[in-house]
Amino acid sequence: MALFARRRLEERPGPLAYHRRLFLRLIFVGSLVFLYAPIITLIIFSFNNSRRNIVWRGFTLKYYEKALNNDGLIEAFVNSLTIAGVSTVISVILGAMTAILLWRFRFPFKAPVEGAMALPIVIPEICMGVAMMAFFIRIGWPTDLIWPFNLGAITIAHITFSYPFVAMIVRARLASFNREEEEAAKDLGASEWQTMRDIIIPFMTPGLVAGALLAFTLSLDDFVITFFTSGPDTVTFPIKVYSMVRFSVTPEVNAASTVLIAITIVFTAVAMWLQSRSSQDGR
Amino acid sequence: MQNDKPILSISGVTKRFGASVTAVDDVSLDIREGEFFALLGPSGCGKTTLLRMIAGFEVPSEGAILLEGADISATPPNRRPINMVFQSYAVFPHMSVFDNVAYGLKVAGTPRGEIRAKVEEALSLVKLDGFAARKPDQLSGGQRQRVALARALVKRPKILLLDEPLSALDAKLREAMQLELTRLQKSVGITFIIVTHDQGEALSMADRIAVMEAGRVRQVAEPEVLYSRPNCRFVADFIGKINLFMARVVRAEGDLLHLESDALGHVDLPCPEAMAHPAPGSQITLAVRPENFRLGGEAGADDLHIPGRITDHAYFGGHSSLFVEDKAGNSITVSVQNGPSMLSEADKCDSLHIFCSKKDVLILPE
Amino acid sequence: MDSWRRSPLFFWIIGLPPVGWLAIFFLLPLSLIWLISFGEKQGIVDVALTWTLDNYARAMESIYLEILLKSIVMAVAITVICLVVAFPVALLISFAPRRVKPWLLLLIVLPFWTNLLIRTYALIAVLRVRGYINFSLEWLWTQANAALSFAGLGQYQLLGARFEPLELLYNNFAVAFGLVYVFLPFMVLPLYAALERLDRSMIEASLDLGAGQVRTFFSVVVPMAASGIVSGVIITFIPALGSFLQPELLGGTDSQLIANVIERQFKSANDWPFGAALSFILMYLTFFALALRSLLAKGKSAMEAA
Repeated sequence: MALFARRRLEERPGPLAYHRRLFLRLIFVGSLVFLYAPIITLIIFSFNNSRRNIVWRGFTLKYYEKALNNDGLIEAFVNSLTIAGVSTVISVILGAMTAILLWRFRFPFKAPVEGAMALPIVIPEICMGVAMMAFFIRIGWPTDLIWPFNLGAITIAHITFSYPFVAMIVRARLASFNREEEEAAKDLGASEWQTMRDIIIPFMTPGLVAGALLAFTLSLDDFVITFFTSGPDTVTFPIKVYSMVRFSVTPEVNAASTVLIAITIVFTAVAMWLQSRSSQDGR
Repeated sequence: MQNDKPILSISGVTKRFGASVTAVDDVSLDIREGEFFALLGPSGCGKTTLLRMIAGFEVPSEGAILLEGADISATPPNRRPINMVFQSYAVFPHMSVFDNVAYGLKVAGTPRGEIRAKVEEALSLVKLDGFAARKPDQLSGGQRQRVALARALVKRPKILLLDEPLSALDAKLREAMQLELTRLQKSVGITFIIVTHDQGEALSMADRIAVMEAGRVRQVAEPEVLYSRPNCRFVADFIGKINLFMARVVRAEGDLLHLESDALGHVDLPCPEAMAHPAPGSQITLAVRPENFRLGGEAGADDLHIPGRITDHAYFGGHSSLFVEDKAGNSITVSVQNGPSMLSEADKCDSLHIFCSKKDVLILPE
Repeated sequence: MDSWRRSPLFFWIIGLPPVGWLAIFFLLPLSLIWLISFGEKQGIVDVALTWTLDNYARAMESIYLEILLKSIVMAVAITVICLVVAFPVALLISFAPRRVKPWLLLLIVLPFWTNLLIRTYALIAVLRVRGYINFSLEWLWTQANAALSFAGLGQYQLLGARFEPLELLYNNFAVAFGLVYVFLPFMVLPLYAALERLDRSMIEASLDLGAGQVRTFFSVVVPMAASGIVSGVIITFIPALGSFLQPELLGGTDSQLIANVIERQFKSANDWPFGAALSFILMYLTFFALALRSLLAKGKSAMEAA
């Protein structure tokens, strides 16, 4: 009898076992369905052998083939990846510099500088988009350069909204740095630069990886700001999809989207794996 | 190994942070070559700041630090032949034990073959043979500390600084490490300067101790002297347990002071050499260590005796503390060795006399 | 933290590039727009700076004021919906066993890594007249009708003569749906972070002192997660207020929000000064929300100090 009673108690969720409450589970599962159903149907129907895209008519890869043969789409894709790559590298460098600057130093007008660094994160994208557009037109930024230099304006805009995010992430990482490690290195004879190279940068690495991942995704993802800085010859993937979607919903767009989703997921997974490996090494 | 030649001279060093905070206030110290020196004091007394100035992480606002006669006050830490074991150990988490220990040699441009030999020697010195390939997160706290020690010792510094090295270890390990640090210091012959707030640590390890309070050095002495002849109320109270009694000077007769205390009654004591003769009527402090009281027995000719009653007692295994209240209501702590008879006897007598020899009564200024 | 004077060379080398970049490619464009908002339109892109306030006055005309108010109401509604849905989700994740926690979190965050445009586009396929929701409903309708016929009630046409698809797309509902869809993960993350930090023994203490689960939730969990709630609200409200893509793609002619009006001034109407003025009004609203947040934070810490 006593044994039976104990069993019953074990089965009933404890007062703090909120994850076992049915009500919360329903909301959680509902949210997941809400978040995933549209994306998953989009992916499934990219393989659907029907233009109307509603009823399943059998498996096909022909829309992938079509997307691959769509020169405009491929060009936009290459543009997007190029911009994202360049913008990530520069954003990580600038972001890391910002993070070290704000973490390490006391200097006059630090608060305004910190505030200004947060601005690109907080102001609405549309405001930044129109500002960039007006700026590049006003200073007469050349629009007829050869590829890839014609992507300059978009890349600059992407770097501008990405690197403050990188700075934020890296700075959060640096906040947990034990300054005694830096002092230990100097105590053992390392100069300022040697300390930076041997101690601080290795410590920052997980933050840099996370920052790079975010910068890459932000760039690949951006529509609004790119919309205002791109020209007819500098179409990025989101811009291209936008112009296609305006006309109709086609399986071709589904196929292209699926490819982009797959790329993002693989990229994210690799970055996360790298990050978890380096954080295991780190601490 | 020990001689009287100072390896490090701190002369008139003051460190101010901003306009209001004076962390170290006009400190002068000579540290002898090969000695184990402790900077002891409560937290915030400036001992860590002083250590960081010796290491080069802080620059003195005033005064000079001389290493073997040369002023190093402005030399950056990476150019000083002084190494440090940090409070958090600061073992580099992304490097193996070997790379940690080798780091200082690498940045100094030591040839590879030499590095390997030196690192292995240093690791065996701290009993970490065979740990070279491990990462710091695979080590216990005690092992990490050994890595920090080896990393500093491998550079053969003129002075090794240790900032609260034992504070992060548990009680058992701490005791073992105390012994090992003294052994290590004697075997390598390097001057050690340790910062600690734990008087037991300082007393058991150091050859000499500087007690600091509020940025100033109150007393520099060997552990025995510090304990038996503290020069001020702060040191007496900080090192070990002590009973303090207020007393009034009735008159001075040559070197002999006639004192009146409501707890100890009338006492005649010789004035300590270092103290200026107090004026009649002035207040001074008398101090008696708890273990210098005796319970019961016969009073000798030179003994003070205090009638009182036991209010409480606390058992500590080897000894017990008895809390005795005298007629005036002062609480006096008496430490007794726990023999088979002692405690039971103490338990029995509600009112009793405690005795102490006059020579055990300390006179403290202030 | 060291004074910059300790290593000035290092300070300048590390500080100048990012700060310079921000000044040239962010603050300068922003100042330019600010100046343009006080100018008068001369040609397609030419603006004469006359320090006029006409552009701002025009923004206060009822037609634009209405859109502005609508944007605010929409953003508030989105924020509230996200908060109500995200709180239980965050609560569940933060109390889940250690093993599964990162995976649950990943599940919520993963859509965030998917392109915003693609996600919005995916919704079109779900919501449109010949979309999945209507298609499912039609299927249900057919099944129900068949069942009714089977029961001998077919001739009464109880469910209508034919299936009427719901108009789910190109209206305000679709915009709201799309915004919640996009911003839900934004709300979950700060809430989760706050709940994760929350000391479990506080909840236990409340339960131990006799408060019920609901009471404990509102008088212990919610106040202690306040910082996370405020962050989540801000992080959702601001982008929702300036959202452009969802009203553009999912909304109808009457679902224009402020960002769409701004876009039109720059892209088709070519009235930069007016667009710039609207941009700055939007930006001021954003700053107002941020100021409100720091004011709340200050009030809270003052309360705790008292």
